Amino acid sequence: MLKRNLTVLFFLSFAVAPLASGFVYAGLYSFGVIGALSTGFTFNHWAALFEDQGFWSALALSMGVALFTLLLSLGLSLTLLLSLQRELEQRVNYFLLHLPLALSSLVAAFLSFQWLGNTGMLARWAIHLGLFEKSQDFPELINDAHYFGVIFTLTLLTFPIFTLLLLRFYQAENLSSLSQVAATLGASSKDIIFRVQLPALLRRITPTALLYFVFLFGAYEVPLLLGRQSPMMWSVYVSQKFKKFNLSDLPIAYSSTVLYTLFILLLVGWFWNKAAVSKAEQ
Amino acid sequence: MKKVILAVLFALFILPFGYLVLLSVASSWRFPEVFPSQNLSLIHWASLSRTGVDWLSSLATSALVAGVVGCLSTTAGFLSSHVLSIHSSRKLWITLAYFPYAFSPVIYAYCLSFMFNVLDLTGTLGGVLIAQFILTYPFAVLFFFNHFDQQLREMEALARTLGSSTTVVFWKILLPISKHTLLICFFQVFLISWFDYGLTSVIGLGQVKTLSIMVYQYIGEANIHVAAIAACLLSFPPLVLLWFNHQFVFKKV
Amino acid sequence: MFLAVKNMFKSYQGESVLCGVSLELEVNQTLAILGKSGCGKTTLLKAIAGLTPAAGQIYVQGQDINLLKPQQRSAVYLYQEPLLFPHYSVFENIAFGLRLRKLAPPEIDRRTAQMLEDLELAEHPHKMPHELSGGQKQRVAFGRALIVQPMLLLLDEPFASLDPETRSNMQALFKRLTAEHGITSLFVTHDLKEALKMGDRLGYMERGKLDLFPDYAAFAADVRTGMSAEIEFWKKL
Repeated sequence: MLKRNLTVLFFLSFAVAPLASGFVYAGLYSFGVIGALSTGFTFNHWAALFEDQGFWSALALSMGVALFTLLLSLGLSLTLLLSLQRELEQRVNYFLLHLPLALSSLVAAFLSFQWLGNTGMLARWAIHLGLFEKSQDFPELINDAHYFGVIFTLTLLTFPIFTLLLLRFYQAENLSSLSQVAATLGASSKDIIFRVQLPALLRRITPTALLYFVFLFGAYEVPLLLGRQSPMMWSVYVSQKFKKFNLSDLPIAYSSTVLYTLFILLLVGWFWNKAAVSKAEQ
Repeated sequence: MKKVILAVLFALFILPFGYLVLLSVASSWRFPEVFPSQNLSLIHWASLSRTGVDWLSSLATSALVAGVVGCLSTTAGFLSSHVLSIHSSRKLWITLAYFPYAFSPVIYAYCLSFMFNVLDLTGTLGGVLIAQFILTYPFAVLFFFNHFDQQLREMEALARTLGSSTTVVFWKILLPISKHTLLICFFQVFLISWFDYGLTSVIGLGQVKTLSIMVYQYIGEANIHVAAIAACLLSFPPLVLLWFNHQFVFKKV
Repeated sequence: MFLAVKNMFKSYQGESVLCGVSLELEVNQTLAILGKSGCGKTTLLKAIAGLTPAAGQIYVQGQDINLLKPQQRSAVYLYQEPLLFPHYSVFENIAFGLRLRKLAPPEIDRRTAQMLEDLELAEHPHKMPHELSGGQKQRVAFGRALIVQPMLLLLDEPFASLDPETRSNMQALFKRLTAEHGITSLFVTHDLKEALKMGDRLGYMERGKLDLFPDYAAFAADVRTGMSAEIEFWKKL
């Protein structure tokens, strides 16, 4: 009993209390209750946050980039798995599929910077092949308005993980045998993919995909290097507010932190209460 | 066709590592040259060893932080999960552990920074260690929730009915059976810590110079050859760990 | 009386699982308990083994063991799955309990080798659990339990996952070994034929209540056991 209570206390102290105290502090700061320029309880900082165009664009951009990257990664990994499942299970290929895990977001962003920039490897090849004459002619692929470089890099980091997961689910759900059963029941190749394999895989990967949506939404290093000053993704936006050393910006930074926390709470609390719990129990 | 797709795919995965090495040994690589025009040399690597112990100490700092955080979080996560996974409120613990796990490390760092300021931990190695432990511990707890399944519980119970004490069950049954899972968890926590930039930059205030901090600093200085060296140092140890895992752990799990 | 269980009560989240279960068993006897899934038979075995707390008294040779830890009860619980320790060989799995008791190595070797002979596994001492068939695994699990000469063996549908032939062989092996080693046991099953084959005494469990029968005739007379229906079926053929 003592061991159990001590463990719960330890868990609460290191997994719950830090975030909870940070949230309370940020909340108090955002309402002007505490802070260097505190003048008492006020909604002004929240009003300022909601009036800030940068905040709304950061929110929309983060949503868009996360969603687009997620769908792209899922599509890519599903296509790969369903067309190359046997090959990917081979020992060497399976190891190679793990290689991107050895790249940090920062290094991946650096590499994209080196490859996609207008003096990067792609531009050099393009000029070498006579497609362009000078670097300025090369299309903007990083720090671009459409966040292509960010989405490209995040997708490259995400889809191998999804492919590995789907490969594991494919085996766990015994989809090879299920597909054979479907075939003997008269299903065509298309039927097998759309009626057996895809639904089974999507069902298994949905909780993980949602978790990745949250990870991608909060991505920091990649948009920091490959994004733009305006609009910014949320993590970069919050970070800029904190870094400005402008004391009047701090309450707004804390307001956006509170909002981010609520967003995570909502997603985790609402969805994972069912999905994640059942996943963890599997 | 399948072979072509696989070749393209794996070229895409292998190329970054080759490119990093090439960039680090290219003494000059002018635009629009496709390959470095001059001879490849270790001039940038050599300059690093001449100009100070910065990168060596960064490598040591990163290894120390990731190693300590990996050991602490894996151990604490294992022990906690062993108790929490059979607790009557297990669903609550799972949900609570997901919050910090899903959080953006950099925003989490800003949430923690006031407390670390008060405790005078910002800008210190100890502060970074604690912050990274706080970040990775819930992950380790979640990781082991799946491990402590019904079968393992029954095996523990069986060993007890055969006469094992709690200590014997832990050392002779639980640990040997969990050896590979512990290694995989350590490996993953190590990677999270080794790669972390956001949390370390905020809590460490740039004074705890891990390799990630150095990579970012060199990129900011447009010192791409040196950044490539730091990126090599950041990427190759995980590659070795990955190979080690693949050889000795994955196939046995 | 070797084993006497008195007034065992247990409930989960307000639902009674054991409702005043009592039983008595002589030494070297096997009590076969028949019952459907969820009737409380697993909980009863786990309570006797000390793996789940329950109110009541459990006397073994006159001593109440209900407050003892599982490792102090000398009551080995066998699951439906063999649950062999995956990191130990066949030999080490069987020798596990002897090593805990810190017997001299030559003695451990001798007893384990003898048990391997008894189990007809003498040719596989170095095999790892994943290299064994289902029946072999279950035999190792048996040997691991029997070698520590427990006062009480608690078997929770141990043959349920085996094919009919292996199951039949295992039943014969169980009868032989428990007789040779003088083991007292409780054998839980949902299979009527198995209950009849294994039990010196018979019981039927339903909704946390255990009814013991003085003889086969009483067991057959109770319609819940399904024995009379079975007899009718064969008669009609």
